[in-house]
Amino acid sequence: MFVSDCRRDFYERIVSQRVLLLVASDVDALCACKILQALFQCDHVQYTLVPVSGWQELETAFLEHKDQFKYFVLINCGANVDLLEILQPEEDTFFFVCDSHRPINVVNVYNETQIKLLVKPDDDLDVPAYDDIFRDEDEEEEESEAESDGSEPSDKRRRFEEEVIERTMKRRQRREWEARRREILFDYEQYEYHGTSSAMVMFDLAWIMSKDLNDMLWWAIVGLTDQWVQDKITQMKYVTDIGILQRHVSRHNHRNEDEENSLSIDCMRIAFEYDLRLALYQHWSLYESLCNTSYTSANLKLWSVQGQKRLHEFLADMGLPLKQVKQKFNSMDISLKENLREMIEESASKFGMKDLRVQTFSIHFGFKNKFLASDIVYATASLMESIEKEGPETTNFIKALDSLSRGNLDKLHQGLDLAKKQLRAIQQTVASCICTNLVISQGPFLYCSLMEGTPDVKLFSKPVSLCLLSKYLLKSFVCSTKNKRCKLLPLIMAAPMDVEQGTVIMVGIPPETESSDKKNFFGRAFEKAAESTNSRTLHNHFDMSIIELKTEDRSKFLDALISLLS
Amino acid sequence: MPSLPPRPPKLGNPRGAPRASPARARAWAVPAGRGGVSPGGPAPSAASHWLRGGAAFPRARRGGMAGERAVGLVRELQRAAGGHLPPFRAEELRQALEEMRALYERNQADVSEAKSGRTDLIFLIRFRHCCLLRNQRCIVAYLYDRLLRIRALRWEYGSILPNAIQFHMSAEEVEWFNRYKKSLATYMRSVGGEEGLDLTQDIKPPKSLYIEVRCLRDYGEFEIEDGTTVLLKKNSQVLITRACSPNPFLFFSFPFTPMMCPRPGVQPCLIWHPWISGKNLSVFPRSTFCPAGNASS
Repeated sequence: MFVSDCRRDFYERIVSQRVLLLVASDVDALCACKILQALFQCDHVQYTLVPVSGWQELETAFLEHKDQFKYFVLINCGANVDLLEILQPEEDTFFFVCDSHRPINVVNVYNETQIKLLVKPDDDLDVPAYDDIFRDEDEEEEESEAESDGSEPSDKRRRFEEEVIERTMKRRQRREWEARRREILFDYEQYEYHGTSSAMVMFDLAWIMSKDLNDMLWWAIVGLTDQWVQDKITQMKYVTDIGILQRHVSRHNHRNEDEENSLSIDCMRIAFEYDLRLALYQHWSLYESLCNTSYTSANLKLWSVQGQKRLHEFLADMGLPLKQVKQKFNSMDISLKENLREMIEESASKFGMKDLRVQTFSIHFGFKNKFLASDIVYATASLMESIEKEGPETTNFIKALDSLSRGNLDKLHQGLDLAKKQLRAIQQTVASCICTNLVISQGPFLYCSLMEGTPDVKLFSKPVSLCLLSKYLLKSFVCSTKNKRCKLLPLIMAAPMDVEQGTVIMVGIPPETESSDKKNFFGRAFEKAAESTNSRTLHNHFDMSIIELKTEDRSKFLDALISLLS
Repeated sequence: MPSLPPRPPKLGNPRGAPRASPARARAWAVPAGRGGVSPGGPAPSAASHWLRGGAAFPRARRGGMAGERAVGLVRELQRAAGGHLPPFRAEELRQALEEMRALYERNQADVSEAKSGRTDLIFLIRFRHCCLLRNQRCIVAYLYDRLLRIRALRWEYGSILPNAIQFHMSAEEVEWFNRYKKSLATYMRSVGGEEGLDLTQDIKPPKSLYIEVRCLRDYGEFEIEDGTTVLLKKNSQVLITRACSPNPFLFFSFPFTPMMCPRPGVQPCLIWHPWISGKNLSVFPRSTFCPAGNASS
């Protein structure tokens, strides 16, 4: 059931209780978690935080803790499945689900008692009406009982015939209703997409309670930017949400304009920026950033020699000497940096890149520390999925969570380095895939599989990195191919996950079009194909379009998919 | 002559009449190379040539001034600021005591001589006596100050001191420390009702009622004071009441060691990370629950 008043129905209910927080492993969930943690610390709510990366971990954590907790808060997990069926909780357990995954499972929507959804009501949900999918079972039984009451033998035969007719009519109606119900449910659950970022929902809650801070606002911004970086929301939605956050930003950060009352340079301030879309460019060199951002790399076709020449032309067009552009951004000549954004935008539109600038926010504290929201997203995501064998003390989740606090700048810088490595690895893999024509069209979709010996293939055994790689690959492929039909196809990407166990991780992403609504049908498709071929699959991830598969079953799985989707 | 308080006689003038001349006094002090004021006045090294009975005093070249070692001990303690306990200087202490013994013996010898008529020795005797008193004062101050520092260590570190510090203590000091611990424990048990009151916790009033704990390894169930159990698993974070953190109920029932764990066979697995305030938590001493012996906060 949807929670209309977040404060009354959610926060006030848990403020005096002990709560278990189950947080999924993505940056949006981390940000929402930080905001909620800050609120809990403010109000001394005794909570336990358990990170979960998949359904199995969610179930395990629930089973372990269900004796001690009655209130569970799930962040970015649990909305798109029937929670009650999976977890089998007691009658007095309550779940508060703050999830951006859509579509929300109908059982979760219509359960009145145990499941509360912290979802904004204006999110386009299109939940089917109650009567269309649920039917009271009592009606039928009453009628059949009334029918079997005894009556006089003289009218019995006539009544018997009427009863038979009535019963057959009812059965037919029932079948029709069920068929309609299946259709409605199929339409509703066919496509997966994402709604408002959980971090923004949490920030809204904090704002309603007047406990919002600049820090929380920054986390909300990072959560939203994560959705944009991972291509989970449409451009329209992103711009709308940016507008909402912009109002909060000006409310919290207006003191700089006034010369007399301006804050000290060490205070944290957020500013709205219409900045370049180049990944990490302020912490890298401009050249590297141009090479490793998917937008520029795909449009300039940097995997080919032609592309490299175009890049040089692009730089020459702007009047930026190569030597300057290849050194660290902070050391570039100030005269070049002054009008950089406008210059780049002008030149870029000549080369076919019209959207090189994007609306975003930046954070600024101290003299040296200035970060764009997308920088933080890349850093945190790569920390969370880093494969480096660090000490056993803290896991990646905790490290990533820590790096979101402003006091842990060293972790943030570590994350930025990892992100640079990751972006470079992605670009190199994309370039090699396109040059060696690894992306093949299977009919209804494109397919690409990474071999085991590919450099950096271990980086791509993690779901978020693999998704990022596939999106970049699809963008580059669309720019490189001449086949008009192939440009509209979705992509399935496979990468080896665990060599010993022989598993492969497979990701399906929707087609890349100008105005795509980012709706992904691969979740259901994967399920059906797995069923029909009895392949050994593990649908462990919260995003249904990411699965693990045994390498041997891969070919028959793909064949089933092809036949399903054509 | 105005009645001045008795001052140690100055032995700088060979003509016999004591002449208070500060410049001369300082002149004696400087060649010895040490900055402190010598206890019995200027060094008798130059004057020893007219002492009868041989030059029995330690001279600047041979052994230094009287009371030098004792003052050296005190100076070392003064330099070790901030409650730090330097190693126990048994050797210097022994030398100082040796010096005192030597002075005393010579005094004994001279007293008997003075009784039999040699009144000019009285000044010397008085001088040696002042040296003895000075030494005694320095040595007692040294020992007492060390004990005070050791007592402060109990409040800072808890019942078990780190090995490095124990290494610096003499056997008697260790004995004293144990007795102090016992008496403190008896007192704490007697105060505060049934379970006693652990006075070494929360010396400064805590800023928050709750602390956030990050579990680095699986611990299992942990019971808080109000009876609720918390399951502590690896990589979870828990916000719980501060009252339960250093386990006051364990303080009295088990010997408090860093490797202690109420469940046998389970390795200690918590590192309590107070990071709401981020600063040090004056809740419990730093060497608690540190499997590797390194405190991190």
